[in-house]
Amino acid sequence: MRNRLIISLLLFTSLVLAACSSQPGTSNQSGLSVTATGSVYLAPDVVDIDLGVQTQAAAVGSAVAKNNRLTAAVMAALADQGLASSDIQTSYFSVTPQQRYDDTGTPTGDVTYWVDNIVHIKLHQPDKLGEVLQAAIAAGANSVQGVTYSVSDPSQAQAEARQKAIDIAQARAHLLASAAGATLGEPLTINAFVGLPGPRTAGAAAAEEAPGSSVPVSPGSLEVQAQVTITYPLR
Amino acid sequence: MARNFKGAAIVLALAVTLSACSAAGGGAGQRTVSVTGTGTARLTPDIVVITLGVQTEDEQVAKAVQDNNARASGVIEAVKAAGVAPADIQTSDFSVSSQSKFDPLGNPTGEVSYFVSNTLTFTLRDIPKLGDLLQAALESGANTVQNVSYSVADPSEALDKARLEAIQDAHDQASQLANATGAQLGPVFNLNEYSPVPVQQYAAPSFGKGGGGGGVPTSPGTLEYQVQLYIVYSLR
Repeated sequence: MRNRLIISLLLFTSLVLAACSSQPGTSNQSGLSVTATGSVYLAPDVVDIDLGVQTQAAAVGSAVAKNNRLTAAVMAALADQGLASSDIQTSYFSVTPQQRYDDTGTPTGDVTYWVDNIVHIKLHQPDKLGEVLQAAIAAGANSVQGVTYSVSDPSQAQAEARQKAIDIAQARAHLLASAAGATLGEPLTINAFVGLPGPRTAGAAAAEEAPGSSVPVSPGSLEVQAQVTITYPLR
Repeated sequence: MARNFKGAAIVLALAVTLSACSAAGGGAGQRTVSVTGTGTARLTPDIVVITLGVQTEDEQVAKAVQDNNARASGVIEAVKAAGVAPADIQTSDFSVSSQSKFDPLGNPTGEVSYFVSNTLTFTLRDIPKLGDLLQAALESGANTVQNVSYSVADPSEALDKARLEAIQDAHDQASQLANATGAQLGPVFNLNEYSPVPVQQYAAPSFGKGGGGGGVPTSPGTLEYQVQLYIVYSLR
């Protein structure tokens, strides 16, 4: 019984200590904190495409049959373009009935069936995007949900961006400290957040031109951003 | 008796712990004055990011795509002719979507219209060409313009100047407060920076005239970035 009291007191003490150590840290704590952003620009090497076939018919069987035939042709066209089957994934398949109504708003019993078959494609040669889109559409694709450029392995660019952010943060901390008449100690905490490559066009990476008889596209360049916060003690 | 003694020792230990804790907090006994200093950087934009594209429509998907391709090629040519580097041009959207046609009762007629959209986002670094570029893009087939936004490629130097201004501002405020209360300003105790906030400014007397050359009339104006520093000074 007494032991239990001692244990609970010890527990309480440790809680108090924990609360106490986490309490200072904002304005109570002496220090200087800076947040800096570093950016790296790079050319995309992957483009993600969502495209597919939508068909409609009064009989579900014929809507599906038509869709199957066109989708098979689209898949064959994609394979002809050199896409591996591991880079093509069926992302959506649906059959949706739509009722028909007469002028009194009563269902007529007739139904239109909509069939959708959408594939997600990972194209590892962004310069072939225009041709791939053209080939898929020529084979029967009649819906394209968008194209997204990305980088398959952003880790090196992320490391470069992080380094840039650290360099900028350190330089700024020294600038601020010297202007404010303070002396920095060794960094106390460093927090980093690095994003994934995103669309930005303020870079200088090389890009290929799309060939003539296809959908005109341009990969441009992507931006990887890192944000670093460093806190220094002041002496 | 022995038990009570042990209990008292624990309570004492706890009290010592608590007082140690408040001493470690440091700030409790420290007299300070806290201020937020502001510095402003006003910059002339040196880049402009434009998003525009081509939208076509047809009952035949192939026809809609073909029309779109022809016009989009022309638009890309016009953008390149204005001196925009390929690395600064990105296809930000390509989509094909369908819209069913309906009779007056709301029943699908079985006919479908296809909409094809090809959108580019690009960076123009030669700002005076903007007006001509927009005009040329529209003449060569662009029929949607979603965005034209001015920016500064590298504002870091100007922001550093604004930071020094913010420190001066903070120091002036803190001195005033310290003097008013009969205290003396000590060393900086804590300094935090809020991220710079771009503030769009539309009035720009010096850049108002013919900023965009020919074509669509445009003007780059001035971009204003604000730096805010939160500084805590010790008081003596």
